[in-house]
Amino acid sequence: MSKNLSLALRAGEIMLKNGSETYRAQNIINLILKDKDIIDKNITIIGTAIIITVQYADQPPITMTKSIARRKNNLHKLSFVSKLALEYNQGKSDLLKLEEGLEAIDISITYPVWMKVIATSIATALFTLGYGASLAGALAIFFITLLPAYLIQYFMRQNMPFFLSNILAGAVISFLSLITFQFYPEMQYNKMISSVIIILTPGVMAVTAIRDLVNGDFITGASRGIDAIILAAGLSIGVGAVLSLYLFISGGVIWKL
Amino acid sequence: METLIIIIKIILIGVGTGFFSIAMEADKEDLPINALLASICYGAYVYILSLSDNMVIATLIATLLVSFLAIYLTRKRQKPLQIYLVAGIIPLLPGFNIFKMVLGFVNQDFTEILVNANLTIQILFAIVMSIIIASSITTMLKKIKIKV
Repeated sequence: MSKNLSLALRAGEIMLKNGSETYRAQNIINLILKDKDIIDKNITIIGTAIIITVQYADQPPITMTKSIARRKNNLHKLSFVSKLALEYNQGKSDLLKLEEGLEAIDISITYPVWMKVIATSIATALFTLGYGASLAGALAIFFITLLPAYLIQYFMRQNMPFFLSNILAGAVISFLSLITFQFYPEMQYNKMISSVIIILTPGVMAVTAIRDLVNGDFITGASRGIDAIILAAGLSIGVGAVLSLYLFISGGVIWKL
Repeated sequence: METLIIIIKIILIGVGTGFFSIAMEADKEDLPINALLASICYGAYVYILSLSDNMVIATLIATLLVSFLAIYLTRKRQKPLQIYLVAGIIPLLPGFNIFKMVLGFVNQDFTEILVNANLTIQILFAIVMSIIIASSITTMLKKIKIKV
């Protein structure tokens, strides 16, 4: 009987650790807890903890909790778990299929790291072109972004602090841009670095935070919002620190925009 | 010629967002949709900016448009909203102003810092407000049982 309770908890856990909004994770858990024998259920999600209390007919209430240690963003997993829960709710699949599906999606890899790194670099290059920089600038930023994009993926996989990865990424971008600047001073570095900032800004996290706040989940929304601000600040600190160091060593103004 | 260049830029931004969706681990079938959404959003932004010359208003209207489109797609394709919303918003993020603000700190140019910090906050506020308005309207319509 508690099988669907543990599966609901599992689905909620996958949703939350892959960047879902609180209310969506609650909806998914609700969809799975559709058993007729359930006379009362209570789902509480606060930040990184899920608490579900279910009371089956003629039985004392059962409470299960799960804390989520690490959050990242994987839109594919969110969409797949939503689909699984909906199919189960509509009677198109059973508990076994749901369990297999959740098991598979939890360990699956949507895209390999190398593909994500190259995709990020191509995106930055295209943004640089779109914002009006030259083809040479776009090519340069493609190669410059490879290392920071890999660093971010590496830090994420090693469960290392996000803040540090963004500072490092910002510093590397700044450093490599300055090296390129020494050889090709005519390149529009402002547009190049701006594109990297846009791409590396934690957009998914910020949107999720806003959605949480709109839905009244103020604690989760605020914590996510602060997380996003810290990450964006980390990127700026990395960029600024290297530029300041360059200014200190070379003297004078770096760029006048 | 100038219009053609703007169109090419809008397409480039869209394709760039499509590639970035891979890094956000969006489904393969959503990549072209994300690219299209980003192009529509950025196109609307550029058009409104050419009319009003106000970045905040342009961001507000473009985000509002993309928020409604994202909500519609979410309902139609039964997928989480972030998938489409983030893709549309990415081209509007004030990266250039953030960079100029950082540069202001480095050069100790306080006017530059204040001007860009102010603009960055206004643009981010416009994005947040648009998402809130679109989400609230659709939630309200859903509650009074009107099909959107």
